[in-house]
Amino acid sequence: MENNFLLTDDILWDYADGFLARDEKLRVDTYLRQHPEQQARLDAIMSEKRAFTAMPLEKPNTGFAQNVMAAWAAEQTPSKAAAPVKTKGHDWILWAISVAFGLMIVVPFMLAPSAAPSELSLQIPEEYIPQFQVPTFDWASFFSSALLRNTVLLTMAFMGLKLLDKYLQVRNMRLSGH
Amino acid sequence: MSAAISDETLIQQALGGRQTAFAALVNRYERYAFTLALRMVKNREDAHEVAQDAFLRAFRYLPDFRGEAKFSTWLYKIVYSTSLNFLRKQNPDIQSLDDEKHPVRVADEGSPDASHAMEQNDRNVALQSAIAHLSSDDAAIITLFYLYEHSLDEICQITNLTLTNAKTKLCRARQRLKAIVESKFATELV
Repeated sequence: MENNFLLTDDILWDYADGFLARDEKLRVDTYLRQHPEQQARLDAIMSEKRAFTAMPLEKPNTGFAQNVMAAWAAEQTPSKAAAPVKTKGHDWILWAISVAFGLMIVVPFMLAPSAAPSELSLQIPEEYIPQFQVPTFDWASFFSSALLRNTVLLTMAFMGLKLLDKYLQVRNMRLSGH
Repeated sequence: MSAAISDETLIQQALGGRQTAFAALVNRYERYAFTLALRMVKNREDAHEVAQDAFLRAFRYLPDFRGEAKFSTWLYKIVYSTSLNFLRKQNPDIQSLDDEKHPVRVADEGSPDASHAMEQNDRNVALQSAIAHLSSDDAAIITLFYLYEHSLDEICQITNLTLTNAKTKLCRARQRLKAIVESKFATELV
């Protein structure tokens, strides 16, 4: 061990904290063996270090964790509202509106044929009616049938209400801030 | 038993949307986060606010946690930066928390702090009182190294200091703490 080695408190702290390289640590160990009276300095530092590490943790107020979780839940709520979730509980409203719209459109058409004037009906003389029957499909009556008319109207009404449903969902998302 | 569940498992469960996993992480780390915040902002009420804000930030950015560092290191980094932001808001003139700009504030002889501490026959209380007189940076580095037993590398990750700076700061913080203890609370530490 060289004579000019000075064992400072900083070196002893580095020793205690484990910051010294292996050769530096060996040098301190050797020095302490040769100068046992210096061991007390290291013991004091080790004791101080133990006091640092033994300090108790501070305890937050009771309910801190609950407050954090409540704040976290509050932060999460808008995100959930923004998700395109089907509001099944309110479907009956849409169905009621659909039925009302459908009836408003369909009922006038269903009542219209009975209110039409009878002179519009076409009377064809019998001699002009062909004697043989050609198997044809009566497209005219098909297209003018109430069944087709009502089906088309109902389909249009249903599509319109689906659009209304979509619009209400988008509006709800905007109102919730997203 | 929640104590047996690893941080990684809790994080995966939290990412899966399980609220109890978030709660378990808070319960596990609330005292550490609060202590670090308190050491830095020096006020219990503010420390509650900072620690809560830090947890919320941690949860918000949990999907970005890649597990390269320990969860505790990552969390303390958030607590540390949240505390710094809080202190900067409190005092916008603060640009950094360098030791030179924030010299050690030693309580006057006979001040309420000193006399109160002198009445305590408790080594820990005296040390904690002494730490309260350190600058925020010094208190944080002492807490992280000695109390949380983080390595210098981990402290560098938390504080963004270089290894040399972290070691120098730790050494200075310890010297300042020792000076405070010796000048004000020596009787408790004998």
